[in-house]
Amino acid sequence: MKSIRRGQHLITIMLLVFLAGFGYLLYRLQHNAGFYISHAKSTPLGYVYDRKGEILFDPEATAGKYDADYFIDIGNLIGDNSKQMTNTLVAQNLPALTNYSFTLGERSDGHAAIYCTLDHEVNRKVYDAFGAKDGCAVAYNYKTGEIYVCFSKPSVNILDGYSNIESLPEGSLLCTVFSPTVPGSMQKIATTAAAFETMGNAVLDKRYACAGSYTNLGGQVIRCHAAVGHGEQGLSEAFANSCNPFFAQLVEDPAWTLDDIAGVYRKMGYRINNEGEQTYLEFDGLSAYTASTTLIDKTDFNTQWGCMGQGMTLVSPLQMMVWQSAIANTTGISTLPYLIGHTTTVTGKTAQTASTAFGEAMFSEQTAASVREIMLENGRGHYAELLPGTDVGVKSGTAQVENGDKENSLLTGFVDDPAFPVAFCIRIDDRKSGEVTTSQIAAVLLQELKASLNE
Amino acid sequence: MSELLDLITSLKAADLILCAAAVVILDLFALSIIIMASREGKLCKKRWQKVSAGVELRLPDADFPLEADEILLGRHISADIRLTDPSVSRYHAVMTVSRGQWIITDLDSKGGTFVDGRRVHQSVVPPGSSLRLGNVELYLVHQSTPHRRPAAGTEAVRRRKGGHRRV
Amino acid sequence: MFKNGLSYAGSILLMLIAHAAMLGIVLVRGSYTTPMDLVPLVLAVLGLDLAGIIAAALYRQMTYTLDIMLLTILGMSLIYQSCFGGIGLSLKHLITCIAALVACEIGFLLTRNHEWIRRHKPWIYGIIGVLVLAILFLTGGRSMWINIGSFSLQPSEFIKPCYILICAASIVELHKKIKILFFYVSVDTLCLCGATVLIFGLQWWCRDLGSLPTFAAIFGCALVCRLCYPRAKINKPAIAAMCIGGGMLAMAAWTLAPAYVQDRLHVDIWADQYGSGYQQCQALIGIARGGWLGAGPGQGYLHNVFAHESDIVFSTISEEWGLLYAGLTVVILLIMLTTTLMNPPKNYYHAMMAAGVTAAFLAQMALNIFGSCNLIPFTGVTLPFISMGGSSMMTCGFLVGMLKAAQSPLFHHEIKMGRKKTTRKTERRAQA
Repeated sequence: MKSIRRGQHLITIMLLVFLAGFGYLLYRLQHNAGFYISHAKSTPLGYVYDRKGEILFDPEATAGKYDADYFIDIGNLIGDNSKQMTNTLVAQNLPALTNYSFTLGERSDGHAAIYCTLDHEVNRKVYDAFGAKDGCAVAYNYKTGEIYVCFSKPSVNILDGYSNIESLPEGSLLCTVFSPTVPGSMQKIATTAAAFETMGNAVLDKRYACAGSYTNLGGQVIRCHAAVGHGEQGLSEAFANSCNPFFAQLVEDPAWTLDDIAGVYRKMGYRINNEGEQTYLEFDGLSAYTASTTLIDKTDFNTQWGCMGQGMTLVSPLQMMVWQSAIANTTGISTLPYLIGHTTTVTGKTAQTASTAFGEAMFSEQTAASVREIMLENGRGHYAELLPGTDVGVKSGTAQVENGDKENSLLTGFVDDPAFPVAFCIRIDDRKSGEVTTSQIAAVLLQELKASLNE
Repeated sequence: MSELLDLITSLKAADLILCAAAVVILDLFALSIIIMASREGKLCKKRWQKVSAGVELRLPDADFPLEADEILLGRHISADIRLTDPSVSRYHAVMTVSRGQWIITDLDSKGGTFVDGRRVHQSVVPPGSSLRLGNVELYLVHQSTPHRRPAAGTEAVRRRKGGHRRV
Repeated sequence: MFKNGLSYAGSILLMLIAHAAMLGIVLVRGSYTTPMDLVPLVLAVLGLDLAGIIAAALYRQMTYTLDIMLLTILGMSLIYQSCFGGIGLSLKHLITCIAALVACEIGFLLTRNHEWIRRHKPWIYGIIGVLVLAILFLTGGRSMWINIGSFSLQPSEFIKPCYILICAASIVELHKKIKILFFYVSVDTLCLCGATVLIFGLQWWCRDLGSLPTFAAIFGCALVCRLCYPRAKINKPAIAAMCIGGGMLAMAAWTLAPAYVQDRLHVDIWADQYGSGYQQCQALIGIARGGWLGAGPGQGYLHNVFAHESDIVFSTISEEWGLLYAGLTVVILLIMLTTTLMNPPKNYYHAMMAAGVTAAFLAQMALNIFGSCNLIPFTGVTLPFISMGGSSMMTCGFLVGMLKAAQSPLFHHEIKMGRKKTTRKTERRAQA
C-alpha cells in the first residue's frame, strides 16, 4: 500500500522530469534549427546588400556574373561562406543568411538577406584612391553608429576561389581595420584627453620649450621631427605641431601621476602592462582589437614614447575612430559601430533591426569639449581642404613600424556638421614622401560620402 | 502564421493530408489507449475486490483499506498500517491474502498477535473477527459494514487514544 | 476479461489504421523505384500485427493494453528501420521484433507470480553471475560483445531485468533483518549492494559507461523507495548521507574517468564538427533539415552516418518523418509507462518492479535522445524498441512483460497452512 503509493509517486516524478526535459529539447531544437542548418555542407543562402541595394555577397557569384574586381574592396570584410576567413560578416552571420526555417525547411527561393549600412560605391572609390599603396580606411556616423566605409588593402578577391591563396600578400585575409596597429601621434589625443581629465583647463596654461630634442629626467633623449625645434608653445600649438618634446615634458609634469594617465587610458579601452585580459570591441559577430600600451615610470623613455603612440602602444583603427564619437558628441561616451542595418527571414519578414548603442563613459563632457576644440583648431589650420566649407577635427600621426624601417601614415578625425556626423580613421602603410597622403584620401572619403548620402 | 500559409501552399496536397492524417490517427490511438488502460484499471479494481473479499481494517476512529496482497503492520515508519502504540513492535505482523482469505503472520513480535483473543503465529482472519497487536485492537470487517462507535470513556478507548496514526 | 471488448477492438483498429497511414506516407513521400518494393514491408507489418493480435486473443489475460501498444511500437519501428537509406524490408529487424514479442510473454509469465519469482531470487543472482562471467571470459578483452558467428550479443543488456528483480526483492524483504554483532542488517540489502558494486565495477572495467546511468537510475529508484516515506518524517540524516555519498562518487567518477570520457564531457561539438562531434552535429543538422514534417521516408542524409539506426535513431526518424512524428513516437513510449499509474499494481514487489522498469526505460530514452541532441554527453545507448539491435530489443520486450505482469498479477500464495494449501487451478478459478 504505502510502498505501492511510493512507487507510483516515483514513476510520476520520473515521467514529469523526462517530459520537462523533452519539452525543453523540442523548444531548443526548433529555436536553434537555423544555427544547426548553417553548419550543413550545402544550404541555400541569401544575399548581403549595401545601403543602396548593391549586392555585397552572392552565394552563386561567378566571374561571369560580376566584374572581375567587383568584390575586391570588401573581400576580407564581408567575405563568403567558404570558411577560409572567420572574422567576416558572412562567416559570423550564416544563420541569419540561411534560407531556412524549421516549419518551411530549406528554400532556394527564400528571402533571407542582410542589409548592411556600408556604401559600396564610396567604399570602392576610397579603395581606388589608395592607388598602389596598401592600408585601411573606416568611417561611420558618430551619432547613430552606422559604418559607411570599411576596408583594408590588400584584400582578397572571393571570385578567385582561393586558388591563389599562396601568392596573396600577407594579411590579405584579414580586415586590418580590426587589427592592432601602432597609432603614432594619434595617441596624443588620448594623452591630451588624460591631461584635461586630470588637470582641467589649467593644462592650457602649461608651456614647454622644444629645441629639436629634449633630454628627459631619466637622461634619455626624445627627438622632435622638426630638427630646429618649435620654441616655447602651449598645448594647442604642440598638438598641431605634434611636438614630441612638449608631450614628454607634459608627461613628466609633477601636477599628475602615472596612475592618472593609466586611469583615463583604461576607460578608453587600453590594456595596460599586460594586466588582465585584452578587450575586444564586438559587433555583428565581428571582433576588433581595442588598445594596449605599457606605462612603467613617468620619467622613462619608453613610457613617454608610449604616450606619444610609438613603441609598445597598439590601437585598432576602428577603436581610434570610435574615440572620435566621444569627442565629437562632447559626451565623453563612445557610440558603438554596427554594420548590419537589418536582416530579413526566409519569408521576407524583418527579423532584427540595428539600434544605436553606447559604450561606457571615457572621460567628462568638459574634457570632450576641450579636446574637440583643439582638434577643430588643428583642422581649421592645416586641413581646411578636406571638406570645403565645413570644419573637420583632425589629428595626424606617423607610426614607426618594423624597427623604424617603415613609417605608416595615419589620420583620424570627425566632421563638425550635425547633418553629416562622420568620424573616420585612415592608414597608409609604408608611405614615402611624394606618394598619396592620408589627407588626400580623407578628402575623397568625406566628399564622396557626403555626395552619396545627399543623393 | 505567414510561414504556415507558405508551408501549406508549398507542400503537395497529398503529402499534407497524409502527414496530418497520420499524426491525428496516432493521437487518436494514444487517446484510445489511455481510455482502455483506465477501464482496465477499473476492471482490475473490481477483480481485486473479489480477491481481497472487500474487507478493511478498522480502529474505532480510522479505516485502513487493504489495497495490496501483502500488508505490513507495525510501529516502523515504513509499515503500511502504522500503529504508534509502544506495545506494537516495529515490524509486528504481516497480512496476506489468498482466495479471498486474509492470513496474518506474526513476525516474532514482543507484544504478540491475537485473533479473537487467541495468541497465534499464523492464522486465517475471517471477516468480522477482531485482531489485537500488543495493546491495539482492530477489526476486520466488510467495507459495507456501518461504523460502530464504542461508548466513550471505556477503558479500552482510553488506552488506545493516540495509540495509532493513520498513515 | 473480455468486458472491455469494444475498447480493444477500437484500439486495434486504430493501430491498424495508424500503420496503414504510415505505409501510405511511405508510398507517397518515400524513395523507391517501383511500388512493388513496398510489398514485403506491407506484408511484414500487417502480418506482425495480425499474428500478435491472434496470439494475444488465444492467450487469456487480464490486460491487453500493453500488448497492443507493444505491437504498435514494433510496427512503427519496423517501418522506420526499413526506410533508412531507401525502402526495403529490414529482415533482421523483423526477426528481432518477433523476438521482443516472445521476450515480452516470457517476462510476463516469469514475473506475474511475485511469490514464485521472489522464492527464486537465488536463481536471479545466479543468472547475473553467469552473465558477468560471460562478459569476463567470452567477450575477449574489455568489450561488452560476444560474437557468435554473424550474431553479436550484449550480455550486459540482459543484466538489466535481473537487476530490477533483485532491487524489487530487496525492498520487499526489508523487514527481515538479522543481528550481526550490534547491528541489525538486512541480508538482502547486503547482497544487492554487493551485486551493484560488481555490476558497476564491471561496466567501468569494460569502458561501457553508457549503460552505467541506467543501472544507477534503477539503483537510485530502489534507494529512494527504501529511504523516503511519503506523508511521514523523511529520514533526513540518511538522505543527507546519500547525497554526500552520491556527490563524492560523482566527483570521483568525474576526475577518474578515462580520457575519452573527459573529452566527451567538455567537447564543443561545433568546434570539432568533422572530428569527435561529427555524429551529434550531423544528428542536429538532420533534425533541422527535417523540420516538423520531415524530408520523406528514405530521403534523409543521416543514413550515411555511423550508428544512424541505433545511437542517433531519434534524429534519423526526425529527419525522414519530421519532429512531430518522432516526438509522438516518444509520447507513445511514455504512455506505455503511464499505464502503471492507471492500473496500479497490488503488491510491493510489482510496484517496485514497475518503478525500476520505468527508471530503466526513461534513463535509456533520456541518454539516447538528449545525448544525440547535445543536451548531455553523448553515450552510445539504444532507444527502446526503436533502435536496431537484438539484445536491446529482447531486453526491452522482457521489461514490458514485467510491466504487464505488474498490472495483471497472479495472486498465488503457497503458505503452508495445513490443508489450506492453494493450487494453481483453484486460484485461477477464484480469479475468474
